[in-house]
This record gives sequence, structure tokens and C-alpha cells, in this order.
Amino acid sequence: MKKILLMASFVILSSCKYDGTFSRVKNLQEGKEKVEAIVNDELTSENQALLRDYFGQIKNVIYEIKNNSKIQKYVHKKFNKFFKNTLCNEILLDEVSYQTIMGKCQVSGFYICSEEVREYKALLAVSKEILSESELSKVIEEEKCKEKLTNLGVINE
Amino acid sequence: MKKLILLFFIFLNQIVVAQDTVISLDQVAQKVKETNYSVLENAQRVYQAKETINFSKRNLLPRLNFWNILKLPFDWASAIDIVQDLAPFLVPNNWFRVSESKLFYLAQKEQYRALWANEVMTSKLLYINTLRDIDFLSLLENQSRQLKELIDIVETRAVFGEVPPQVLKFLKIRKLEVQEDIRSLETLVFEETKALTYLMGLPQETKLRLQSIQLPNVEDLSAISFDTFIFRAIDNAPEINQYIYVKEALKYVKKEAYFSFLGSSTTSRGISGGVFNNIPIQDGLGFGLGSSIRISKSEGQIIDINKQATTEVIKKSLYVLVNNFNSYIENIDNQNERFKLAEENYEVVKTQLILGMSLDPIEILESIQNLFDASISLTNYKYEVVNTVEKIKRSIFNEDYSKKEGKLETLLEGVN
Repeated sequence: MKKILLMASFVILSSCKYDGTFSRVKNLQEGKEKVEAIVNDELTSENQALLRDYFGQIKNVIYEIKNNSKIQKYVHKKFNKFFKNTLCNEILLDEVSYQTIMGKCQVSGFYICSEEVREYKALLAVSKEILSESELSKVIEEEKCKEKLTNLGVINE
Repeated sequence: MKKLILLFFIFLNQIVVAQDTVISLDQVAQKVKETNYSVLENAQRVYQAKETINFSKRNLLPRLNFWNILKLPFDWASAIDIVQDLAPFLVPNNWFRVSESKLFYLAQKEQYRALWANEVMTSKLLYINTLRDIDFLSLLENQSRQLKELIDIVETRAVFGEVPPQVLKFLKIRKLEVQEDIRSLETLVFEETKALTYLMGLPQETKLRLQSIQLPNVEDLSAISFDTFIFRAIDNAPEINQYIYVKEALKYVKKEAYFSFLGSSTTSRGISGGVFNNIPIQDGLGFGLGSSIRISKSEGQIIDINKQATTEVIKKSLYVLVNNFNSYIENIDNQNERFKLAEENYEVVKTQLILGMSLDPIEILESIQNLFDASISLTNYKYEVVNTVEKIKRSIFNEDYSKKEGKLETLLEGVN
């Protein structure tokens, strides 16, 4: 009985640990909304910090999943339960907003934003590699998401 | 025999060609990163810091100390000393040293990054300044040619008594002055090239030839603002990140003081660990603990002060750079206008001279001097813009100075 309890608590604890990754993915929505709110504003230090936080979170989540096989297994296992159709559209910034930001990040030949902003598309390409074909199909089932990823050049039409 | 001689000459020619190393501004950064002596030395320090982590980790494993074992039959009380040998992992301070060495490694990496960025900038600025001096040299040579033409004309006129002899002497003196300027500038270019050879870690025997650069169209640049640039300058500054890591390591030094009653660690803190050498930690729990903690807190305040000072230094230099950049953009029209007027004036004087009109040679000399000054000023102006752009790039870690943060670099391996 003790052993079972111990095993159960271990499984629960590890699930909680990996659920943290999922909640960090969901939290991206908040960051995205903040970024969308400042897309047309001037790139002050505060606004640049918002950009760094959002794109930095994307980087951290992808890094976490890509470099931990246990989390990857857990993501594949729980994918259908966790990834709702709307999620991709909710957490990812669209091409138009991204290009507006990138336009502001380039000033007189200088690049003034965080590196994560510049590497957004490359990071999305890395995240695509993590997903299996069926998972990717599920992600792009949603028309808005498919359009967004196509415009961002992550997937081909 | 003829073939042999021919082959010998081809071989000799190849040796001469091999000594000439043509380098472009884009190659300077790569060369400095690969072969600059200071960068290479600092890279070794980073390597040592990384190896210190391994050492600290391995120091947690049991080790054999023959002399400690030997004294055991005579002194049973010394058994407790063997804990440090047989179970060093039971001493918490050994674990703290592992964490500290990891943070010092990261701090060392930041230090390395700052150093190579500075070395790259110094080399690139030297390259740009050398090119500027080479351009000045060609402008001086041009002035010397113009003076020679003038002297020829004045010499002819002096024969007919149209020009007093002292004017001719005056012009000859001026030409000699220009020749002396040329000699000094040639020496300066030679020195700069040798300094650049050293910065790039090349043997001094190398004959370096610099490729010219495209000077910017200053008119096409737009003004920049300090407020939008400061974020990246501070966010990327390795000089500041270094303090963050050192401050983080300080937490473990405090823990060392608290856990000293379980034994002190003999493991070195590593290459940058010397910053905490002035924090006394008792070997065991004693009345000195309070002082140790207070000293470590004070050390933390010193780190904060240094971090703040560094931030302000970065802000100060960025303010100056942004101001310079904007000032160049605002005033480029003046420079262009000055050059245009000087050039027109010289052409008018030259035409009048060709037509045989009576002109004061001093006036002619003045027009040559004006054109020369305007040319030098415009060329210098454009190079100053290039210099300022380079310094801004260093401040905000753009292009050659850019380095992706660890996680980002790992993720993008093979993607870009």
C-alpha cells in the first residue's frame, strides 16, 4: 500500500511539474494580448520589455519541451486533451502585427529589439519539428490557425 | 636550365604574393574572435571556469588520502576528519561551491563576451581610421600636385617679373610642408597597419592590405532616439549580466557561512571566485557568523553599486553616441555645401589662371587650401559617421557584436 501511495504521489508530482509547461503555453495568450495592444505604439523601453517577455516566453517553452524527452513524451500523451483548436490562434502573434513590430525594430540600419523577436519565425519552425504529423494536422484543422501559420511561413499551403 | 630559372621566379613571386594579406572590414571581426591574443587568453579562462565546475562536482565524490588513513590507528578521534575524504558530499559547503562555480563560469562567459566585443570594436575602429588616413594621404598627394602646377605657373611669371620672388619661395615652402605631412601620414598608416596586424593575431611579417569600404550616404540616414535604443543596450550588456551572476553566487557564500558548522569546503570557487575572498567564514559555528553575514551583505551592496555605476556608464556613452549620430545627420548639408563652394572657387581660379588673367598667387594658394580643408573635412565627417555607427552597434550588440543567449542559440542550431 505504501509503495502504491509513493508511486502515485510520484506520478502526480511529475504530472504537476509537466503541467507547468502547459500552463506556461496557455499564459502566452496574456503576453500576446499585451503585445497586440502596443503594436502601433512607440517602442519605449517598457514596450520593448513586453516584447522580450512574450517572445522570450515562447523561446523558454519551446526550449523546455525540446530539451526534455520526458516533457516531450508527456506533451504527445496529453496533446489531444490539452491542445484545443483555438489555442494556436490565441497564443500566436499574426504576420501583420509581427511585421509592424519588426519594422519598428529596424531604425536607421540598427536592430533595437530583443533577439527573440527577430527569431520568432525560426522558433515556430523549431516547435513544428517537435509535433508529430497527426498533431500538426490537428493544430491546422482550425482555419484561422492554418492561415496564421501559413502567413508566418511556418507551414506551406 | 631556362625552365629551372622560370620555375624559380614563379616560386619567388608566389612567396611575395603570399606575404600580402588582403582583408576586408567584414573579416576583421571573425579574425579577432579567432586569433586575437587577449580574446584567446580570456577564452582559456572561460575554459578553466567550466572545468572548475567539473572539479567541484568531482570533489563531492570520495577520495583517497593515504596519510589521513594512516594516522587512524593511532588517533581514533581523527576518524571524523576522514568524512571530508570518504563522504565529502555530506559537507553542504561543498555543494554550495558547485553552485558558485557554475555561476562564476557564467560570469566569466559574460566577461569574455564583453572583452571580445571591445577587441572587435577596437580593431574595426582602427581599420576604419587607417582607411581614413589612407584617404587623407591621397588628398594630400592631390594637394601636392596642385601646388606643383601652381609653382610651375608662378615660376614662369616670375621670369617676366609679374610675381615677386618671395611669392615663389612661399609656395615652395608650402609644398615642402605638404611633403612633410605626407611623410608623417605614411608613417602613421604604417603604424596603424602594424597595430591592426597585432590585434588580429597575425604575425608582424604579414603585409596587410585593407579593402576600402563604402562610405554611407549620410543624407539617407534618419535620426535615432536614446529612449528606443537604451533597452537593448542595457538588456544585452555583458558587463551588467556579470554582476547579476556574481550577486547570485553571493547567496551561496552566505549559506556557506550558515553551514560552516558542518565543515568548510576546501574546493576553490574558481577563476572569478576571488571577489569573495574578503568575506571571512569561520571553520565551524562561532560568534563570527554575524560579522560574516554582515560583510557578505555589504559585499552585495558593493555589487549593486557597481552594477548601477556600469548602467549609468552605458547610458552616458549611448547618450553621447546618439547625440553625435543625430548631429552628423543634421549637419551633413553644411559639409556638402562647403565642399561644393570650395570646389567651384578652385575651378574659377584655375580657369582664370589658364586664361592668363592676373591673379594673386596667395589667393590661388588659399583656394587650393580651402578645397583641401573642405575635402578633408567631408571625408573625415563620413568616416566619423562610420565610427559612430560602429560604436552604436557595439553598444546595442548588433551584427558582429551580436551573440544569441544560450537557450536561443541551442534552439536555432541548424535552423538558420
